[in-house]
Amino acid sequence: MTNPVAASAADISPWRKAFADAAKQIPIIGEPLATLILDPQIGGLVARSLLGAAAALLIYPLVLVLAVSWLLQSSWFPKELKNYVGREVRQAFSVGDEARLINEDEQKRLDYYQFVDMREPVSSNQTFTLRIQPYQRLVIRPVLVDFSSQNPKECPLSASLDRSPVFALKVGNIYVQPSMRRSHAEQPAIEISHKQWKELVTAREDLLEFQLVPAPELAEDMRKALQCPSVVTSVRLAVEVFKSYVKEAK
Amino acid sequence: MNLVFITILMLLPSFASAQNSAAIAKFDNDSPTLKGFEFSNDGSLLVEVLPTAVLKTTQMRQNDGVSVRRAKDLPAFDSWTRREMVLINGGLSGISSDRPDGLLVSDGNAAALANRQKLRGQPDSDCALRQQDRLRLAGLLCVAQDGRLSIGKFDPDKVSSGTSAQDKAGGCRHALQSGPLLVEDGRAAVCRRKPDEPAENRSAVCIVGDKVWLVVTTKPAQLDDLAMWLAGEPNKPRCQWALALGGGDAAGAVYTPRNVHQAGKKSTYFGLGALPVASFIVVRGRP
Repeated sequence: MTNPVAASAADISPWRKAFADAAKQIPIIGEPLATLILDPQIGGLVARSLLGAAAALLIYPLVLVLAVSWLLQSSWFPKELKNYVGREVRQAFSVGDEARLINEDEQKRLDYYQFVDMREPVSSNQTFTLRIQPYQRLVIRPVLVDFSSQNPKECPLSASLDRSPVFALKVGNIYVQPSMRRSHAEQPAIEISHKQWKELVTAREDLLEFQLVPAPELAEDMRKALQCPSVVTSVRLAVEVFKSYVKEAK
Repeated sequence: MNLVFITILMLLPSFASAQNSAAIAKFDNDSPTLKGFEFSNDGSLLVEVLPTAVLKTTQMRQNDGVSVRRAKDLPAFDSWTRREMVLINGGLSGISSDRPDGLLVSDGNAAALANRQKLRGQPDSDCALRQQDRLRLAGLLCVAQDGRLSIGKFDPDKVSSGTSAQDKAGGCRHALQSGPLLVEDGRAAVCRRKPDEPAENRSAVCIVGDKVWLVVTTKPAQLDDLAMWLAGEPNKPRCQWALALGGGDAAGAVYTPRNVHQAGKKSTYFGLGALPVASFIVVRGRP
């Protein structure tokens, strides 16, 4: 009488054997996994499940990327949808690229990176809030600093507003950036110093509320023109919060 | 006698309107992908640059411009269409579609100040236009106090040296900073395209002798092809100066013949005009 188990083991395909050998290379769970794969009773099912999981984790995303890329290039794919997908992908990668560039410097491990858009009337002294630990390193880069009038007849803009700083950034009563000029190009970054943190910590724990206000050095007539109700801000700030803490200057 | 005089006075406005009725001529010339409108640059028509934020109703979305297709929903649209009218998308948008990118002066008042952002020069480029630093929005459309329209290179220092509205744009009643300049002094002023540059819908304004053209592409076009077409050929020149307006899906125009409210007369749309824009250029018969 032949041993049915031995006979079944002899029937195991070379592919399954190779798969079991490959599984053996996995530390700790490799050996028992290989035994399971070679088991004549349940080995086939285990191998198929593992291959299925590999397909779901590795092959499926790859096929999806290829399919989207092919669809975007095909002429019959609706143009609106094509533009939408293109925009989304571009935006996602642009932020990712910025984050990657910052992370390349080992001294600057990024906690999070985000853009803050401020588009309300200047007169509303709009705010934005960041969740941040006391003394955590924070850099704010003004990417766009501009304003426009939604009603130029009532609130015309004066070219003299181009000649002096127009906005300032405050936390509580502290000016973290007292002068930002109107500009469509990136301006020098703002970094909260240890000294500033010392004053801020007493006010708040882990939430910092920033306020965009007219620059303190702005002349009174220009301040009035800027705070006319129809004048709205167009400010975009790039916020970088790092996994490091600001040290006291020696 | 008095009755005859009064009758003549009553007929005068309608005569003037009749003169205006053919003031805006549609054309498609020899380009299969381009439609345009031509009118005399003598100040007889009213040419305005209007920020869409001013025209919107309070029910319309905040921080959003108005598309050419949706201009018909604006309260002012009905009054514009009492006379012959053409409306085309204005310049580019900034942080949101209702914020003009670059100088915009409307009826003598500045709604937005100059954009001084420069594109960095590439000394190794084989195109001379790219070799030096240049303004991203290098052109200015100006409607003078007498209603005549001009296009030229934009000099931000010149327009923002003063404080009065006229100083902001060298005496322009309406002004719009946009770019790029497609034709300068009769010559195409954009570099040959790179192989991967995508074709887009586009709109432009140009000066052809004593006429003005507003043009819209009806199919995606390359910028250099449009510039070459607008410049024309040595034996058949077209525009002396041409300026690109906002492009892509925002580019579009709407034309209404005179007395659009009469039965059978409807506005006609050209180009896509589907995305919201920050401003319109509106050309119409004077009230």
